[in-house]
Amino acid sequence: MSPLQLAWSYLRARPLGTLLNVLLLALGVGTIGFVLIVNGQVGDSLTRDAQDVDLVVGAKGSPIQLMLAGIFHLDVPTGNIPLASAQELARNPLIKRVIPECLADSFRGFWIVGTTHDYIDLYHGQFAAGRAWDDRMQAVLGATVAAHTKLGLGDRFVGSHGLAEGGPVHGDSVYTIVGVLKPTGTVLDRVVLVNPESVWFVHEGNITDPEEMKVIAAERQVTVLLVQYATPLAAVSLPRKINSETNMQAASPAYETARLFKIVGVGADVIRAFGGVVLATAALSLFIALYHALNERAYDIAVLRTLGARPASIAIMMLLEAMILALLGGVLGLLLAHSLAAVLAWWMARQESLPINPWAVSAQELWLLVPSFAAALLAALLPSWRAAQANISATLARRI
Amino acid sequence: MIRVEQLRFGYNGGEEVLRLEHFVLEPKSNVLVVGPSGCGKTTLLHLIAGLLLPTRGSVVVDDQDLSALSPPARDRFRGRHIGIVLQQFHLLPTLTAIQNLLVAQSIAGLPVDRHAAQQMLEALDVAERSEAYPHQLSVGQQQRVAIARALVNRPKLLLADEPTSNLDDESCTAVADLLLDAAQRHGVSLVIATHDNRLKAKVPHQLALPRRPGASAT
Repeated sequence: MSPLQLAWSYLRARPLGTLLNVLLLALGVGTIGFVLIVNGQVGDSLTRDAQDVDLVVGAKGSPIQLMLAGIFHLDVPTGNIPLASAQELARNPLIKRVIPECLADSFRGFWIVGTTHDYIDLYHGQFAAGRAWDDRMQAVLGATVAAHTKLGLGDRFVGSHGLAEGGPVHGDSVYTIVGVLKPTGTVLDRVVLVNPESVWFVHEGNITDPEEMKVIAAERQVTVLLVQYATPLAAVSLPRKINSETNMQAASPAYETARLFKIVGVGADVIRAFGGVVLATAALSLFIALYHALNERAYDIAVLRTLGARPASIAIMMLLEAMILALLGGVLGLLLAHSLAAVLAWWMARQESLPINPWAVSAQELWLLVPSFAAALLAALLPSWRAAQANISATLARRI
Repeated sequence: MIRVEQLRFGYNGGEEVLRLEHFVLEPKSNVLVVGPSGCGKTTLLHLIAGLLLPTRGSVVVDDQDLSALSPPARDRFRGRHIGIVLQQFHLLPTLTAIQNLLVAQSIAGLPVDRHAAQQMLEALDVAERSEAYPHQLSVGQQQRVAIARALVNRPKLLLADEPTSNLDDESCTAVADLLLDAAQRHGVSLVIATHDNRLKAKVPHQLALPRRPGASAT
């Protein structure tokens, strides 16, 4: 019959009150934890997608939009840039590698990206089946695309213009799947890869006249360039040079991601604050319960004292009661946070959005138990102190 | 077992509510503290238990001056050497009968001995109810468990505060016999504070406290 068992016996004796306090604590911890998990997962996901890209170059417009479209394929592009400008940029000695993306069409909600083999290399993609394209109208599917569309090697499909499903279909230009990639946990899983010529071909049609071909070739465009610097020094001059001297726009993924997070972070802060308010409510509810228990248990406390309990033991018993609630509420809250994240992950997967792993547990999460314990401790301090101070003789005499 | 000398007590050092010049209780003997309501019977019991400290004078239990102990040491001393039976036989409502005994062992800092607790319940003839909660016990069973709890740590002194008030004659006799029998069998000194005249026939040794001047005779 340790103080812990005694404290537990009191919690068990009033299950509804205990449940209410545990749920309130869990809701507070869960809300804050949910924000933490999702923030972390989205952050990880974005970082993974953008980590090897030093600069995104595309048509002028919103830099965040350029980054969302060019790297994460979560938005429509800002426009196109002339192929000639892109080729000129690629010759800059400050640049190690330029990966072009031609974005125009989609297949069942997934972007068809006209690019080079470098794009697969950028995300360390490996083939689950087949090989890379070596001619136009050959396509490689990301892992998620293959899973969702249930298509495989040798299957054929047509793209539709724009991102919306059910947009105008390029019915006469049929892609053949020559490769399927292994999952990487990056944006690579969510795209259909072809070569740029395929995208041009789909929109230009089959041109045979050499004169016409020459004219059209001169007008060819790409949508986005993913740039890797040859030297860190490039970061100093290159973006400014592109932005001021060309009709293109350069955006730094690191900077724009941070900016995006700052904007989205306001929403996260609001949810976090809501969690804080719930926790404060939990503390208040616990305080009222314990304070009420003081009167209810005055005689019990007196009996414990006659059995030889020190005032400190009485206080510890009350604190333990609060700590048990904090632990239960905290653990349940973490479960709740992960469950909420799982629901969001499921919803985001349906939207072909960022992949998040809701069940990834980090040691950092144990810190979430801190607010739970802090709330419980705060609520229990005064009642514990009062319980320790109680005049036992007077309590015992009152009934006589 | 108990020696009281020159005892004065007033709540918060205020008006004197109890005065006892000299009182001695030999080991393994019993005493009935009697007197009208408000004369300080309960106060005296609480002073002997170390729940209150005298304003002046001394209370010595088992050769230990209670005033000389630090508060935690006094609590521990009470837990180990003094068993207390309260007026309502108050059992902790969230614990079973046997847990009420185990908690007494644990709080006194003694090893939790389930076997000893069970034996004590047997001695008081409630062993078969050891897993029942207080609200599942009859009043008589609650009294037995409470007495078992007071005795489980093998104290040298058993204090009972108005154990028979609100009881009919039959129950009164039963509780008195139970206490006296338990005290005798376990070699414990018994102090019963009561205004119940029915007990006077049972315990010849009596300490009569005078009516406090100015106290209303309720």
